[in-house]
Formats: sequence, structure tokens, C-alpha cells
Amino acid sequence: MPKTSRGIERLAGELVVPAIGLAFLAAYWWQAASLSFQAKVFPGLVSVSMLVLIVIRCVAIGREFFAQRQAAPVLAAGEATATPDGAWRGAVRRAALLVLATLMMVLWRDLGAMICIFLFLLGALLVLGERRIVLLVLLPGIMTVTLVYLFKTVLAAVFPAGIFSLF
Amino acid sequence: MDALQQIATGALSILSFETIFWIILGSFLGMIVGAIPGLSSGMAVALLLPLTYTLTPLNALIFLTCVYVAVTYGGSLSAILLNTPGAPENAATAFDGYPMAREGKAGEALGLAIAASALGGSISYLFLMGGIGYVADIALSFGPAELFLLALLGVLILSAVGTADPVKALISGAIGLLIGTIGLVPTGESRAIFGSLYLVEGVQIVPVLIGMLVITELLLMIDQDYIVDQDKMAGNRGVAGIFRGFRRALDYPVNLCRSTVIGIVIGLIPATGATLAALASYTIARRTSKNPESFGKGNPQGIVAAESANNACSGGALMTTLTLGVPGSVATAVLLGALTIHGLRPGPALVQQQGPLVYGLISAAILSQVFMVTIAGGLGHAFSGSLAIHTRILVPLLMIFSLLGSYAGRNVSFDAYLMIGFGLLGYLMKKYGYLPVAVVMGVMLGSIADNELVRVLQLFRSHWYRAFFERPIAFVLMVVLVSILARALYQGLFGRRKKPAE
Repeated sequence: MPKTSRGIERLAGELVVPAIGLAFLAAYWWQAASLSFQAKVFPGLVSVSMLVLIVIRCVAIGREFFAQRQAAPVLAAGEATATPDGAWRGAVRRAALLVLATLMMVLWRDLGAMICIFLFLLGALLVLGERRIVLLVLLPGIMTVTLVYLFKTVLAAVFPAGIFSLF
Repeated sequence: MDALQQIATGALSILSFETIFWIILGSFLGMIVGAIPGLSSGMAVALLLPLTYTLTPLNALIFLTCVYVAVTYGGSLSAILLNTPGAPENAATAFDGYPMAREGKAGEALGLAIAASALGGSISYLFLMGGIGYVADIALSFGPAELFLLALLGVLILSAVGTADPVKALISGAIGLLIGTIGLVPTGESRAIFGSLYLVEGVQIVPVLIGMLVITELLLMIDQDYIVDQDKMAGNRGVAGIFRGFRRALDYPVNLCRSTVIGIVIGLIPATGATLAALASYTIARRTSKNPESFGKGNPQGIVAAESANNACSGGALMTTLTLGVPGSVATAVLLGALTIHGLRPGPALVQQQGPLVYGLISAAILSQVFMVTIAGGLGHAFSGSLAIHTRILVPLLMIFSLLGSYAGRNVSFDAYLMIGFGLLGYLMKKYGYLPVAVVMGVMLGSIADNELVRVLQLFRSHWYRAFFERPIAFVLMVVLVSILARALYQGLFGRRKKPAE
């Protein structure tokens, strides 16, 4: 089965943001459809503009797609279209960091601020390739204490004690 | 006399140890962040915004304004020493600064940049101090139609000026405007809150700012080991001659004054920013020079033109932000957010009702130039050491700071989740050529535009069109807006814009 060219993959990626925009539009009006006229005027104008712009963008993507298919033949089966390893590693690291950040907030109240901050920093350093044991222990430790002190005393932030509340 | 009294009161209000401390701290931190390439002034102010939650409004605004101004100082250091601008507005500084450094004149180049920044910034803030009262009086005559159009113009100009693909930039702005309408409507209804009580007050601006401006860049930084090529770190550390550079900046008074005026004027135009000011000033300096071919090869006038303009821009941008409530740049959009967080509504009423605070802020900005010259001149070259931090250390540190900063605003995890979501959105947008900054502007200005349009409908009812066609300022703004939109759409449909010439 012939694989698509890299240029066409890029064009497919170009549809990501318009798709997000359309999904947001749909979700927004699913919520806002029953509002009064005054409440709908401005969002309505913006939504129509956004739709028009997305259509223009999709037309441009379509034109480029057909131009690329004519100019560059589809690769034969067996020819690698694999993205370089570095790009995959970068994507995995980005995803891992975002997952770590989300997990940290999910466990925030249960484990407590200090443990979550320490584990996040440790996890993030490991994900990004840090392997020096001294740094893996000292940096999260020092930064956890510093940040908790800074945010609690200077900024009066309310940090959960988590499992420390059991003691 | 009333204005003079307010100026005097404002100037005296900053003469306390606590306020001076925040001026110095803001200048210092702004310079460090500014020296790190990839971290813009908007990003720096967004990152440090959470530190101001418990400060008085005056100290909070002074701290953030000093950070905003200091970033361009810091950015010039890495532009000159490493040919890598610390902030986009320092790009033009590198054109002649780095060649000078390579000739062994790094210190002189730094001195030129610091002196030009200080002089341009000081003149700009003096202009702001003298002119803000008059502009506020004019702005008081603006009605809801004018404010509505100004808000839209802020987003539109950002999308239409200096972007390679105006259609993508407009889509970004539209997404931001729509997000900005989430929450309580002036009619009393809740709009698109998705059942979440945390969205009743609208999408909080801090998570949006940090997500779009900071997290996006951090996710992009992961692909590099170091921010700056380590080969460039060797050498170029000799900084003797800084004071010689200070004196030499005064040899170009015409260039200095012209570039300052360019910076102020461009700063007044919403959503243009210091990058455009620096590039425009540099281009004009080259074209009017007797030796244009020497630009780009170590001509001191190039540094003077770029640095005086990019710092002068901050005064003009603050004028627009404080009097009209429309951000003059991304960083001033963050400052707008800070004003809102501290219960202040930007606009002409702010100048009328909070005169001492406004003039105190401007006085602090002028005073900060002195501290910045001292810090930059004495320690500037040392900041380039911050560039040797590996991204696997820098990214987690900045990320945890961002997470905690987003959380600390309301002490709710929802805001941190929001920041993560916007960070991912910003990364995807930047990867495919969209403009995260336009989303930020849209979120900031969406609620303003919406509220003012509702007011127009409430005041004029079925004759709403009279608000736009029978008021001269509104009509002119409308014509400008439609022209910019038409031009951007035409270029998007029939041809790509050229990128701004370097």
C-alpha cells in the first residue's frame, strides 16, 4: 500500500487547529444557543468570522494538497516516511511532561503539595534525560522547599498537606 | 495644578524601602529573564505575575512594569554577546552588536545598548507623564462604540501586521475573542460555562497567559539541549569599555531622538510591540545614514537606533494600555491582566480616579532606568552565564513555577488544568504557524468588546448603527478596521505577505 508523502502528512497536520476551532465552536453554541439576542450578538459575529476564515484556510489546504499530489508522486511501498527519531523523542517527552503535570494536579490534594512538587520535578528531569543521581535528588529537594516557602509565605497560597495531614 | 499635584503625590509615593525593593527586584529578574533567548517580555511578565498576588496594586504594577522594561535590557546582552536576541525586540540589536563584539568591542556595544535604552526609555516615560492626562481627557469622550472598535482593532492589528499568514493569525484572534466571551454576560446570563462554577467569572487570564506564552515555549525548548549554541559561549566575555559605550551613545543625538519618537509612536498603536519599533527604527537609521553599507557590520548607530526605539515603545504602549484599556503589546496585555486582578479597570477613568497610582507607576519606571543601567553595566556580562543551563534543568523549573503560579491565583486546581490545556493548544498553534499571542489578545479584549457592544445595543436599541456611523471617531475606527481586515483577507486568499525585512 503506498504511503503518503511527508508534505501531505504536514498538510494533514495543518487541519489540527481548524478542527480544534470547529470543535470549540460546536461546544460553545451547544451551551450558548438558548441565550438572549444581546448575549449572542458578539459571539455570533466572531463565530461567523471564524467559520469563514476556517473555510478559507481549508480551501487553501485543499489547493496545496492537490498541487502536491500532482508535483510529487506518492512514495512507493517500502520507502521510509518515518519521522526522524529525534522528533518522536521530542513528542514523547512533551506528552510525558504534560501527563506529569496533569497527574500532579490530580493527586495534589491526596498526596499534598510537597510530595507532588518533588515527584513532578524528579519525573520531569528523568523524562528529559537527566541521569545524575546527585542532581536528581538535590534539585527537586531544594526547589520543593524553596517553592513551597515562596508561595506559602510570600504569596499566601493555600497548599494542601496531603498525606502529611495524617501525622 | 491638579495634574501637577497628582504627579508630585505619585512621585513621592514610590519613595519607600518596600517600593524601591520591588523596583530593584523587578529590574534584576527582568534582566535575567531577558538575557535568556526565547523568553519574551510578555512571557517574563506572565511568569512573574503570580508573585504579585499579595502586593499592593502600586507595588504589583511597579514590579511588573520594571520586569517588562528590564527584559529589553537583558535581551540586548545576549544579542550582543551571543548573536542570539534574548527577546524578539532585540533582534535588530544583534545585527551590529554581535559584529562589534567579534571585533573585541563587546563592552562598548553593551554600553551603547544600555545608554540608548536608558535614554529612550526615560524620554518615553517623561512623555507619558506629561501626556497621559491629555490623552485620558480625549479618551473620556469615547463611547461604547469606540471602545468596542478599539478592542477589535487591537486583535486585528496583531493579526495583520508582520505575520506571514494573516488568515491563520485572524483565526487565532477569533478563537481568543470567543474564549474571552465565556462567563457572565452584562445581561446577567451565564454563557458557555460548561457547567463549571470556575468559569462564571470568565476564563482566568493568568492561566491563559502562562499557558500560551510560557508553556508553549517550554514545549518547543525540549527539542534543544541548550538554548544557545555552546560554541558561541566561548570568548566574547570581555566587557571592558562599557563606560566608553555610554559616552559614545551621546555622539548620535539625532538618531537617538528620532528612534525614540518612532518607538513612542509605534508603542501607541495597539498590538504592534517593540519588535516592530526596533526594526523600523533600524531600517530608517540605515536608510538615512551616510554609510548605509556599514550597517550590519558593527555600526554603533544600529545599536542606538534599535535599543532606544524598543525601550521607548514601552512608554507609548503603556499610554494606550492605561488610558484606553487596549494593550499596546503582549507584555502590556499581561499588565492589563494584573490591573484587573488587583481590582482596577484600565481606561480614562483610571487616570482620573487613581492619578497618584498612575503617576507613581510612571515615576517608578523612570527611576528604574537608573537601576537598570547600574545592574546592566555592572553585572550584564554575567547574565550570559544563565544561557549555559541545560534545557532539561530549565524546563522543569520553569514549568513547576508556572503550574504553581497558575494554581496560586485562586487556589484551585482548575486553573492549573486550564494552563496545561492552553499550553498544549499554544504548542499546536505555534507548530502549524498560528499565533498564540493573538489568542491571548483575543481573550483579553473579547470581554471588553462584548461588554461594549452590549452597551451599544442597550443604549441605541434598534438604531444601533447610529453609534458607528454618526460618531466621527467610531466611523474612522470602523473604516480602519474594515480596511485592515480586507487587506489581510486579500493577502491570505491571493498571496502570502513577505516577512518584515531584517
